[in-house]
Amino acid sequence: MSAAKPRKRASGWSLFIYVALAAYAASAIFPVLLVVYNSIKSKKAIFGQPLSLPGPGTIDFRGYETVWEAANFPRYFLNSGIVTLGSLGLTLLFGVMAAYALTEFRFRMSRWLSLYITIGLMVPIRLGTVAILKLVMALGLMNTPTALILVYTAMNLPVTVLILSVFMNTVSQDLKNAARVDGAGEYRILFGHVIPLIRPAIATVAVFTMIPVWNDLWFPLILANSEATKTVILGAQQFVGQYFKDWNAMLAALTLSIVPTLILYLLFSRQLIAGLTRGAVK
Amino acid sequence: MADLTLSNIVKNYGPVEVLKNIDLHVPDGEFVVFVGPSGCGKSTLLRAIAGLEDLSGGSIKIGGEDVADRAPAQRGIAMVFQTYALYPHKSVFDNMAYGLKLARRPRDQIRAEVMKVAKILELEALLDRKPAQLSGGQRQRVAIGRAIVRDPKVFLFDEPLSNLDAALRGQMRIEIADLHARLKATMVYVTHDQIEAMTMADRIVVLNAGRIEQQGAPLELYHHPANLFVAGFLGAPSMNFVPARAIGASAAGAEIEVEGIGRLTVPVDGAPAAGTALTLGLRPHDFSLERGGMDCEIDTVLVEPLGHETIVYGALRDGGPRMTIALEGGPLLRTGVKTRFRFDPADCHLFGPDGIAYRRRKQHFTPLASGASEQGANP
Amino acid sequence: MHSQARRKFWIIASLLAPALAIYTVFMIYPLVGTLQTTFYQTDGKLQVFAGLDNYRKLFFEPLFSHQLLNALGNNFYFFFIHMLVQNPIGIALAAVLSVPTLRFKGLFRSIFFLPTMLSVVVVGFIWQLILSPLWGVSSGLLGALHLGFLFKPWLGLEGTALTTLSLMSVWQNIGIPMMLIYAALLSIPDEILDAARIDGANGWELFWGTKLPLIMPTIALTAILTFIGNFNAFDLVFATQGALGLPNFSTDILGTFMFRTFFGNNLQQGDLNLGATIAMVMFFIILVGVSIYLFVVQRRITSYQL
Repeated sequence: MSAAKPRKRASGWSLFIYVALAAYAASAIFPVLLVVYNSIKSKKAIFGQPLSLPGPGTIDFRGYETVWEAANFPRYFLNSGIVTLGSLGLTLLFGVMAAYALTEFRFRMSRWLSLYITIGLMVPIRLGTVAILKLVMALGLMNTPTALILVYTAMNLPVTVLILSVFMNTVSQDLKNAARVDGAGEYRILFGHVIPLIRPAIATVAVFTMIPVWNDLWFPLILANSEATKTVILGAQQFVGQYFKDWNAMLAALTLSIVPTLILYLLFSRQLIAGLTRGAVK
Repeated sequence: MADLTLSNIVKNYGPVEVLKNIDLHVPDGEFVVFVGPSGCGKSTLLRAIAGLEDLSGGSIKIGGEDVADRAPAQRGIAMVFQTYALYPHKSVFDNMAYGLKLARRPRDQIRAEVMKVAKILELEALLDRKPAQLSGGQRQRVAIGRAIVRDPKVFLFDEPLSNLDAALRGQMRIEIADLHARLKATMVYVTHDQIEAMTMADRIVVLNAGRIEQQGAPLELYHHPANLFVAGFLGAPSMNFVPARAIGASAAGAEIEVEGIGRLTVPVDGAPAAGTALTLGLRPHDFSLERGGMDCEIDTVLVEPLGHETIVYGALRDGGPRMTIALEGGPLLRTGVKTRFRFDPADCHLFGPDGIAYRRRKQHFTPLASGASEQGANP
Repeated sequence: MHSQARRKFWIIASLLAPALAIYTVFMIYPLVGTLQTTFYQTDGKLQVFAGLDNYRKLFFEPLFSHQLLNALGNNFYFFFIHMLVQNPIGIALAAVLSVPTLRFKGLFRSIFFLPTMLSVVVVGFIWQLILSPLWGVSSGLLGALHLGFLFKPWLGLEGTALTTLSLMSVWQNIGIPMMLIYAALLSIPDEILDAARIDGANGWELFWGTKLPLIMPTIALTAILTFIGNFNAFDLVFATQGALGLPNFSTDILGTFMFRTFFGNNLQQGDLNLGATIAMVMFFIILVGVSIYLFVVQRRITSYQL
């Protein structure tokens, strides 16, 4: 009897915990789902029964038709893709190289260089916007994806170098030395041996650098505001600003900008969270 | 196959001297073991030979050629690492073939070489496996195989057995010794395990604080340690040291007085002047209950019966130096009792105030003419 | 020896060069350039050296100093709401998630972190729509709980707009402190927790007495990350309330103030130099925050080797 008592209390407590967690989970996901499923409902249903799921009588793709006619979302997706993948590629390539140089070799400047790169972790790049704008104009890169790619690469390099350095330090020194004895050059050791071993870390860094780039409004707004170079977020922002009376169109545009992130997240959330918690998650 | 000559090797990390003027010659075909406590520089020295560590000064010659300015792969060395360092994403075959592939050897030649070595090491059945699918012993054999495939002038081993369990370590020790006998290659082997050093080496090099303390055949070092460090480092349990004082010299050796033992004459050359503070060294295995011309009384604190021998821990007189004594077999001894142990003064070691040993007169073994010493004596 | 050293030098240089070049040109140089811009004023097409005049204007001309003080105050309010709401809830969620016997852990973790992955702009719009009296979702939900009388157009009222925006931002960003603290909690060795349990600590004491002191450094880290993020915020306000921080500047923060001053709007002309000056004020504030963290907080908090 006496042993059963605390157990009972514990199960009441844990019921409370599960209810609280479920409630919080609902509040985290419901607003997103609400927008997504209302985007394929008729205007009447959106306002009449905003909470109910789309059914046979209420399904309506008019919002998407308006978006298709009024804005060039395929183009925006392409732009976002180019900018995101372009900066991702450069960030990873150069970040991996720099992290390898800073972790593998001891040289006089290495401490100072690490410190120099750390500045970028603490200072938001936006504060340099005025000079970035001048620089981009002087280089003739206004309204080009190149400008965004370079800025985002600079923005993401510090955190990339930092995280990759941590993981590169875990690669066995013996293994690298074995490759050296076997006659591999430093670049071959980096790309042939070190990178395959820290692939999970690279995947984490990849998602981490992609998300803020894909989601950013500031730099597209300032550096690439033209119709031809707009990103999805900027396109959606301007579209929603213009069509704030057409709820179908607004919800459709928002859904379009949510869905890719959502898919990416569903695919990688496990790896992402594992990386975030530095592999402590089993 | 080639010899290895190190001259005046210096290595600094900032102001810290890790290697101090190391000179060493390893003749062709010799198996040399570097031993020393951790941090003594033995691994650094090995990595310097491999070219993995930049030198602050000195030259390295392999087969007469100065290799100090060459990349590791161009030095004609192969290395076996403590953690095996197998490429986890490559199969056993590709691990062994990698060096030859990078050297752009023809495919069939690579295949032939790898198969030949796989046969020697009985790895043929494992060639398609990944390192993760191998046991510790198999991994170490692959690592050795990878070294052999390179057909190096000098083999380097960096504590290759320290990640294996005791039984496997004993087995691999025999395999490596056997490999050396068959390949007759020059091998440099780093370990902190003195049993490995004593059993495998043609020559042991004892390092301490970046310096060579002594080098020589294993039994030479065991029976004639040059100084306190080597005497204390080699042999398990380690040598007992007791403070002593010189009182005179005779043709028979040095006469000394030891508190708790009395006067005795130790047969050594170059007797010290009377009054000199000395250290008497007594190996635990040189004591017995019956034999020997001297005796001393030990306060036993702990008795460890191991079956084939019995280890006794205690102190010489009350509060005197700690003593360890190893007796053959399993005599009945009780803890907390004063016991008399006997020893022969000819077995004693004597060290001067600077820690340098006086040369003992007793000959404990006969070196073989070939230079290869008698093996298998486990002290 | 020399050619080996030279080869190594070139390898290191070639590995570092691309990253350092892009980082220097597009991150460090713009920061320095922005600082330089603050000492000049625009005269037609010319840049004229003006010393500290931009700073004088910003701090002492009422037109700007009022906006600056307002934005600064709003920014601090924004930050305090985060510290008060986001971090405690984040810690609580992490603590619950780290309970070894909890089920559906992975699912909860993924859902809690999901809003953090979304664009700030999109989050702003989603909440704007949900809170809109036009749509009636929130008034309807409150009505179902018989709390309909509580409903107001929170984003449109001067008194509640900033709090509402802060809570929207909390909703989105809570994943970050949660994950960092979750990781810190997981990295506490089981032996320590077992030892505390054997010493008689219950779940509550275990958390307050053992876990919390051990994760203090991480909590401090989340505080400084929140600070940097908050004083750099822009997208959320800009997307939902516009560059003017409607209603009546009640949600104007430094980010929108800088943007508005830089590009101009219907109230004032764009001023590149003054915009840069505001950026430098933001830089200074963040610098002070980071310095307090590095030199005061981090030194006071004991980090334990786990």
